[in-house]
Amino acid sequence: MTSIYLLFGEWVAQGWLPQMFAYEFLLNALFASMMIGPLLGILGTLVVVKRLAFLSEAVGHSVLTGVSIGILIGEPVESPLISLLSFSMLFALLLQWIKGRSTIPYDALIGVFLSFALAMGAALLLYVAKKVNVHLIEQIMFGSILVASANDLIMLLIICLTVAILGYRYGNEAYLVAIAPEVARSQRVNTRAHDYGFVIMVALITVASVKIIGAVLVGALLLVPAASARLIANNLKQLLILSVFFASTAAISGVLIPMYAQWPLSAGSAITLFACAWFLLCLIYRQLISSKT
Amino acid sequence: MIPSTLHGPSIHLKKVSLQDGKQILLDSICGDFPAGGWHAILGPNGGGKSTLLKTLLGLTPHLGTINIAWACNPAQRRKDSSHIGYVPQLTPYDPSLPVSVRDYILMSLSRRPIWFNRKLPNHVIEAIRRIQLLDKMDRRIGDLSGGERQRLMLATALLRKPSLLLLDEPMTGLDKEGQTISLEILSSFHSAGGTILMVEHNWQLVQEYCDRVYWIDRTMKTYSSTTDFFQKTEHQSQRVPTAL
Repeated sequence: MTSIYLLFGEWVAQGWLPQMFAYEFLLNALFASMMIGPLLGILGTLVVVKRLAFLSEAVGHSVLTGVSIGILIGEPVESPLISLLSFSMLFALLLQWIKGRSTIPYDALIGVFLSFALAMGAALLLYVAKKVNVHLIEQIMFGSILVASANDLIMLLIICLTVAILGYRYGNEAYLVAIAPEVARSQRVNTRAHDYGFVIMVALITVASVKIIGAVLVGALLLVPAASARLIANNLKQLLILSVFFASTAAISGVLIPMYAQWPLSAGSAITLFACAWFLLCLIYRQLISSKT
Repeated sequence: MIPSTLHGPSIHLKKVSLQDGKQILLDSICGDFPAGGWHAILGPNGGGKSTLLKTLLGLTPHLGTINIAWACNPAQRRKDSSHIGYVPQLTPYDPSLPVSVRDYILMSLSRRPIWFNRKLPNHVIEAIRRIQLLDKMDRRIGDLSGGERQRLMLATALLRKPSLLLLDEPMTGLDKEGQTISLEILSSFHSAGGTILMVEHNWQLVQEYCDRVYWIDRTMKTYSSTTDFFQKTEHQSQRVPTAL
């Protein structure tokens, strides 16, 4: 990493890049956003096809509880990764497990889990807020470009590689399970493994992205780019390419532009607003197309 | 699309039961579906017809024994073959989902991610031409009519060269032309030796095409031939008036 920082420093010194690229924290946030964007864009297509918009919100909110538990049991305040990962994973797996054993509609079940995660997270955060700097709470909730470390980048890279391998091998099956689960099962696809795999990936990517985007808004980047792409795509290839493009541009712009323009915006807010701008543009484009036909 | 020779399995049910809470869906069903037959499953709504198909697919936990006796023909043991082709009941489909006809075929057919190689093999193109959807390959599935979607489901179910077809009201939503095309395809499959289990409400069609009738109303009654079934009047009051 040091050689990359030095390289960027050199480019800044030669005047090819603005001064802000000399900061290591910004480069970390930039590299993280370059991985978070495609990851959330790809997984978002499945969220949209499966109609599970609120699943990502629920898992995102579970991060609040995970962080609070981590601080309470004495993990590093800046990075309570073990409790964060284990709680979010447990939360997602429990949700899927109950879904498989009850007749409650999935959206209602997710609603209950979302409410629980938010209430529990809010209660615990207020408790731990006395012990930590209040800005840390703000960072957890709305994200920050200041906190991504080299370890976070390595974790993101591992998740990216995992998603690439799984996507190459099981991508078609995953879409078939989402669209026609009974047909998938008749073709001997293990739909249960796919359902669990999906919630595990959502939990993993949520945890990996939470530092930059924040617990409250991470679900938005999983949903909004794919929902925007859905408005104008005619097939799954277009859906995937557009979703990845929207998510990546929103993530990178959300990190760089507020810093460059010195806007007092958290990274999560900026990223989500850029993603929503794409949604608005797609909506207008769709309206224009449909009014012409 | 359909191999010239197939070796459809026979199916043997022994005391197959299924409950959902306190409600009995299938009650100790016993019976045999001979190999290579075109078997019609009839019965009242809620009698357990679709449930039986899902049970045969292994989608629902059940009591009792289901034995599907596959023919051990090495030629059938291709890697790309899935033994069972399934056409589910026509269900409402979200038209706004950006899933094209090509997407659906590719995701059923290939393991390679559908965004890499979107070309279809010649035999698949021929199969799609046969169901008259070749000019609609890049349309969203949601933009197809119910009948077109049903034909697509049937063609896709056959792509993996199964020897057993489980069809849940495959003629629903089809116009006369669509029915003719689908029946031609099913007749080819049947003539080649494949086994078909078909839930159907159109008795006229059953009388014309099927070999045997199974009446399901939580329990199962087997009729050795369609003539045997139609000569008995005990279920005639539940006949839905239909015409080809």
